[in-house]
Amino acid sequence: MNQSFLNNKLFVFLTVIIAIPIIVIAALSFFATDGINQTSFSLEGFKEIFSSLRLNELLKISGRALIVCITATAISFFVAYLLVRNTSKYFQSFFFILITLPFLANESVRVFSWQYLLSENGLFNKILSGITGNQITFFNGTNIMNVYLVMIIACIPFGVFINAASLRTIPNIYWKASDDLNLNSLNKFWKVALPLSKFALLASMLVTFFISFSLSSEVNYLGGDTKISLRNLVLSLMSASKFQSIFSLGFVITILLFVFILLFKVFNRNKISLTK
Amino acid sequence: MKMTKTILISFLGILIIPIFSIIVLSFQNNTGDILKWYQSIFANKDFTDAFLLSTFVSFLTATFSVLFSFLISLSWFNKRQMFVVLMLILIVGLLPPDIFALSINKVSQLLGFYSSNFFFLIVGLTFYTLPFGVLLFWTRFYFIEQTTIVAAKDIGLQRFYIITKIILPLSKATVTTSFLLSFLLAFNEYPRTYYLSGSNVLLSEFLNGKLNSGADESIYAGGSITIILTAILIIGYFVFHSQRTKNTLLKNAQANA
Repeated sequence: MNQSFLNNKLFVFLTVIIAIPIIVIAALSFFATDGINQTSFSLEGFKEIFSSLRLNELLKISGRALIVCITATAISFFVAYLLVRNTSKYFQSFFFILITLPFLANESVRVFSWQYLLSENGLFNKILSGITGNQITFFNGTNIMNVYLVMIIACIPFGVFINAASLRTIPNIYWKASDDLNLNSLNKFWKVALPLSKFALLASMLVTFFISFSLSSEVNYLGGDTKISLRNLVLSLMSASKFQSIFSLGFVITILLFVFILLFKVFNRNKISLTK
Repeated sequence: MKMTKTILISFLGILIIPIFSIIVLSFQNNTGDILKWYQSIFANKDFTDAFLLSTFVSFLTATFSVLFSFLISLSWFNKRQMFVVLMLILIVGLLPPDIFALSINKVSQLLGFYSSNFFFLIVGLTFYTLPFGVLLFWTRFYFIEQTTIVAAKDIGLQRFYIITKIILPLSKATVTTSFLLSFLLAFNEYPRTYYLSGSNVLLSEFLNGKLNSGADESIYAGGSITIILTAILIIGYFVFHSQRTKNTLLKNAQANA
């Protein structure tokens, strides 16, 4: 279907409105504002974010986001597979509605609740101590695993939605053929579901990477001495009045997103032409 | 099948039960009166003000978000328009909220608004909820039969009437879902409100400040109220949705009989 319900003028108007904040980020990353009206072209913002100190912080945040996105995608794909292949539509609706709760809940309340469970005297250590009969303090304020765990859990709902949507579109004939070939559950997962979901897996990784890149309350509440997070970086740049650097960082992320989305489009087009 | 359901329900439990742990804290105190923190938080004027303000702001945000996302989601029917919108909403949705909120703050300054104002707070929150709204509408449009639109065109229905008489009525449930989702997202959002609310204190800011300081234990009751409210709305919607689907199926069965 290729018909337009939005006339060109309205479409341009709506897209410009959405694009305004992005345009502002792009423009202000190249202009230093001295006072309110004085602006001059400058690349200081980029120099600041690519300085060794800031780059080191950004690499740490990106590294953490990469681990979180890979783990969250792997778990969410497996969960989505179980859900789509083995449960009724009613159960799926029930699951999808309840899984939204972690990302709909207030960020501070959600992370604080986890802090209560993962603290040294928290429920998790109590359960482990009860099982082993020894005093266990595995989960504590200095355990960086807490940050990863809570970030992964925050990202999983997004991964489940994307992967389940993709798995639902696999034509039934593939599953029937795999039944005819007597493939067991593991082979169906490995040889049918996984190869046909490459695009969804990549999309899920992209989305969870950028979401976990921005997650900061987890670090503030659970990170112990580790205080490197995007919000803390932005706040430290704000307190030094380096707003241009913040927008430069935003511009770099926008370009990265733009490139990734275009690559996805090319990848998807190639996939469609190969299928044809 | 039973084994899979058990695994999935356990997994769901791991994801959502910890959020409810704050409710346990909200009932714990030395006096023996389990509702002590609830009485205390409802007597706190700052909390009730922040709660009412957040409800008001979220209601406006959800209203604007549904209108705007429905309009922009009509790009679904034109491939080129759809790709542009998809790209924009992905960038808007995935850009770090701290940076995006600051850029909206900058726009308000460039337009001459130096002190905080509600308009830009609602704009910031609408931008946050917009990608979710558009994706919900697109999911609905995917299931609208092409033949319905073609038939409408064949009988000479104009674009405006196809939208208002066919697409919109077929998307009624999505309008409700989108409104509810936008309301909850805006109600519980912290980063954007932190940068855009200025001197106004919204509930998420109030909770974050108090939870960070840990000085006032009644805040556990405050946090619990937001969790319970979110859960009630989600579960209530699920029950309503299930009942509606069941009624539709029953009607169809009766019509076929």
